[in-house]
Amino acid sequence: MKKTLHKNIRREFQFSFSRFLSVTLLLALGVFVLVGLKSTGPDMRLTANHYYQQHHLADAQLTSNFPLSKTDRKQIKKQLQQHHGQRWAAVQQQDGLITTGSTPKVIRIQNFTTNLAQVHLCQGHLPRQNNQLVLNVRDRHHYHLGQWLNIKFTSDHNVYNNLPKQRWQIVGFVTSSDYLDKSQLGVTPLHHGRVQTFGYVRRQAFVHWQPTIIKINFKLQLRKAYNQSYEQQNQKYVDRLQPLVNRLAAAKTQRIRQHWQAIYQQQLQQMQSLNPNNPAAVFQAPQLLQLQQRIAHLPSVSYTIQTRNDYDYGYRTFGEEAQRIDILSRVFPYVFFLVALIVCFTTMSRMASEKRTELGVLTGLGYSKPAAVEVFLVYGFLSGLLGSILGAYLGTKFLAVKIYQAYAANYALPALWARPAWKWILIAGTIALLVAIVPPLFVAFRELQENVADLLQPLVPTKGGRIFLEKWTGFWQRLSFKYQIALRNIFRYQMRMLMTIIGIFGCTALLITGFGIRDSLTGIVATQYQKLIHYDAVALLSPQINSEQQLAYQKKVRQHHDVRQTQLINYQTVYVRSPKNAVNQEVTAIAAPTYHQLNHFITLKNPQQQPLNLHKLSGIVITQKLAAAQHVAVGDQLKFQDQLGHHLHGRVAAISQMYAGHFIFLAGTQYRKIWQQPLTANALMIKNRQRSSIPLDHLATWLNHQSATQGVIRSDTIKDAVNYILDGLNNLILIIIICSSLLALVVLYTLTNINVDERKRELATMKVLGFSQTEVVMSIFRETLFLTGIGILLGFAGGYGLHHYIMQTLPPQNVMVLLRLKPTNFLVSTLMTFLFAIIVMLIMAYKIQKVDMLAALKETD
Amino acid sequence: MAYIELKHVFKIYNRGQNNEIRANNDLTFALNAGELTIIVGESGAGKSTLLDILGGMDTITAGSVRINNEDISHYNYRQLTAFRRRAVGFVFQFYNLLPNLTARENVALAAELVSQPAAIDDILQAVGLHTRQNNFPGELSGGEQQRVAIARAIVKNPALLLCDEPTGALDYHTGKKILKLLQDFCHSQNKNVIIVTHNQMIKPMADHILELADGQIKKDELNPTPTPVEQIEW
Repeated sequence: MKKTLHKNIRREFQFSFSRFLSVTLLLALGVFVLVGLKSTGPDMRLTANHYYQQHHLADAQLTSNFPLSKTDRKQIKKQLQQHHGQRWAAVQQQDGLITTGSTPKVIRIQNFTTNLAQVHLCQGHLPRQNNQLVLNVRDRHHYHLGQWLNIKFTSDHNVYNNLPKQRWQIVGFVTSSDYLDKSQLGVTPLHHGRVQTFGYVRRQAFVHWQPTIIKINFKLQLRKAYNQSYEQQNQKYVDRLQPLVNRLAAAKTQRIRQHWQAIYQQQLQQMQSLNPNNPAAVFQAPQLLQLQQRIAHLPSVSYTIQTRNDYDYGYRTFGEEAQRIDILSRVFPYVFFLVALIVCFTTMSRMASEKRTELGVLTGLGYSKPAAVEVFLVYGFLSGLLGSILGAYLGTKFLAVKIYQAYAANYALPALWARPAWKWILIAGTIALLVAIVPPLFVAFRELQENVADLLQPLVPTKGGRIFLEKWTGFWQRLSFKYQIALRNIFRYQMRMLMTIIGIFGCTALLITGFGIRDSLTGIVATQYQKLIHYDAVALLSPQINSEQQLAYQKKVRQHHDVRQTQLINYQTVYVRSPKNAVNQEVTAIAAPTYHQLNHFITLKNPQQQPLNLHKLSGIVITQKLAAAQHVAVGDQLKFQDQLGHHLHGRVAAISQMYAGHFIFLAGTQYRKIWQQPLTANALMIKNRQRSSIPLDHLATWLNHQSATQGVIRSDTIKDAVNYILDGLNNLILIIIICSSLLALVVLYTLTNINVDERKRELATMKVLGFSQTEVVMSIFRETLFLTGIGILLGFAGGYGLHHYIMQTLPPQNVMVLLRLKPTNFLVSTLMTFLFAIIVMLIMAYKIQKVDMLAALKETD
Repeated sequence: MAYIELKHVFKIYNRGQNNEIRANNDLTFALNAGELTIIVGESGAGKSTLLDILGGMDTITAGSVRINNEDISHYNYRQLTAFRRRAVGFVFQFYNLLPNLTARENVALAAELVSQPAAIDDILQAVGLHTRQNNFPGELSGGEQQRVAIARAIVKNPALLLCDEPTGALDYHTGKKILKLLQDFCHSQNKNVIIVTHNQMIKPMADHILELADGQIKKDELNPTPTPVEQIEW
């Protein structure tokens, strides 16, 4: 019955395909960004959780600085059983050097476990003999199955070599959830201090079974990575256990001391019996003096229990990355969608007004209202549906995957599980459909209220008239006629003027924010390492050397040709916990002995640029971001915990500038106040002559060879970590900028298209009168440029605000951003937007050229 | 019984206000079945308004309109639509063809509305567009487009054919051809054809002549001997 009517509808798509394309693309873009950004975070967490489950990643880990004997393990096991412990496994660790191949590689070897914290086989099989090992799968290209490796284990640093074998055969390649971060596999006292790969062997391969690590799983209802209630419950259990195992550790320390005291007494008595005449002199005997020293410097045993967030470096940072994307998804997609919606609204409304006479004809012929507006339903529905499907598909399978690849490049996680986020797809799709269908229907029905007769009359073009600007005669008279016309026209088509401005405003704001994120973050690292942090390495000293030995060590290091300056300090890692979540924040606490300044190594100044003198302050100095994160100001108390869970607090006397990493700086007097014991040095701060990484590697290796060194911490570790995050963000920014550019292009194209279509008669008239092609094009372009300019200016303000908002929440917890927008940012954004306007105008120029003057003039519409 | 009957029909815009316009100011007349009626008047006399009322395209402010014993005076939108569908064929001054459909399809669009339309091919032959039926309106001349419009109006087999300045945009000879088409249709099919025009010279071709001025009927006269169009010169 309605065969030809439907034919007419089909022809609509054929003949105004560019409009269909515009609308569909705009909607697709909006849905793309919304669905993509909303899916990524949850998909990332899903992917990671699956990986963790596959490897049975342990809820918590207990680390001891002393080998755990059978009795120790039994005691710990008892505590675990009484406090929600469900499963545990003991792990022993030994670092070695692979000497097979051109460059030596530091390898960390552990025994594999079968009930918890398992490895996942990618190739081959688990070791069956004591001289077999499975290797990190990422080394699959350097080594092959069946290959024999020479691994050198040393017996220095008081670490007894428990793996006597020299040659090990690779029987498999594995992944392990303990090594999530590809670049940070661990710190070691061997060689240059960085663990480069890992391997697993049989428990029986260790000559003496002396594990230092216990992996723990708790009885939990839910074990879902990054889930709020899981993480909080996990942390709660760990917090409860820490004081309990502290007691065990203290008891063990006592036992060791008593053990050595007993030996001492034994020796003493032996020697005294051999030397009955001079019992007092015996005390001066060298071996007794040595024993005395030893007893005095017996390290205390410490057990540290940590949740996944703290013992597994990649775990926490990955969770934070996913969170960061969630944050971005709170704002960006809506700006996109809004602009897309506004332009679609304009386009579809315009379509309805264009079809005015057609509506009249159809109703004149006797078609019902629904039949007459059917075309809008079909058109709108199809473009909305197509746009939604396209956007949702690409958003889920492309955008989410690309973002993941950029962010998670650094993590040893498999490809993203790109699960469709049905809730958001539904929401985005519904909005898209509504926007495509409702505006034209609304306009059409409004038109159908008029009498058919009126519909059939050509619509009176929008009334021209004087604009308010003309009242300002001084200005108006100075304008050339061309510009007067341009201004009059702009105010004549008010709706379109507004839409253009809003569209450009949105796009410019997005561009500026995109560039701005980069501006604010990339400067940080350079600034910090040029202006604030001047030291290059911190050598941790063995707790068993006395202060004389420390000074001798310092002298030796100072004589190294690469070293410029050194300073003995107390260097500790403490933790703060933000009240909102259960995650701990690492803080580096550096304390300087009373008569020394840190100025040569760290520049301490407050945000008002005033220098800070540690020793004149009655309190501690904390870094900016730390103060902000913990909501403390000068005069407040900062609460923190040490490695053993002891709660401490200190008065904040000043806040210092710092960009990456949390720090606390304090003088000796403050240290004594807070820790209730006198300040002792435990590390040496070192400043090099050169700052590049190769001399630093050499230095680190040399330092590690010294028996007094327990480990070397490089100042550029934070730098590397932050840089990785920034790299990931840079990729994301690129995606945002590309999408914003696309949006700007489509917006400009659509609006200019409408402009030209609506004024075909005007343009034809101009051509007939004899205006050149350029003059005709420029008449429209002048208006577009003017509106684009206004949109850009407004976009500056919008971009500034959006950037500000994003920078509050986007950066990692321990990174302070320079809230700045470089002038080049504004320049580039402006140039880009104008470039898009020019490109669109060139396309339009072609279209205008093709306008058949006479045909356009004859048309009644 | 008159086929079309109007009694005291008013069409007033902005009633009661300062700028009240009486497009039709108390019209009363009757047309018999099968009459070729011409409504003449200067621009602004109210001709098009009257035509729109007759075709059920516009409502009246007051009065009564009866067409073929059907009182359409108080019809609502839906009823008017139904009336138009089955009873009226309309030819506009500016053709108003659907640009996305070919000539034939434009005619088919109207044919599909009624249960017993005329054969499309016959109609296209009758207006002489059989060879151009697959062209789009953009490819047709003014005269050809108008003929498509007439074909579209006729194919529905309407009781009433209304034409608003059908030759307004056409040259002398083409216009004459169009008028001949309309005259032949009226007499061969015995349908009412009403033509609105400001051209006084074609009055002789009509059976019934209504002269309008200032929204009122100045002259209402019958012409017992209408002249065939081809014999009229102007």
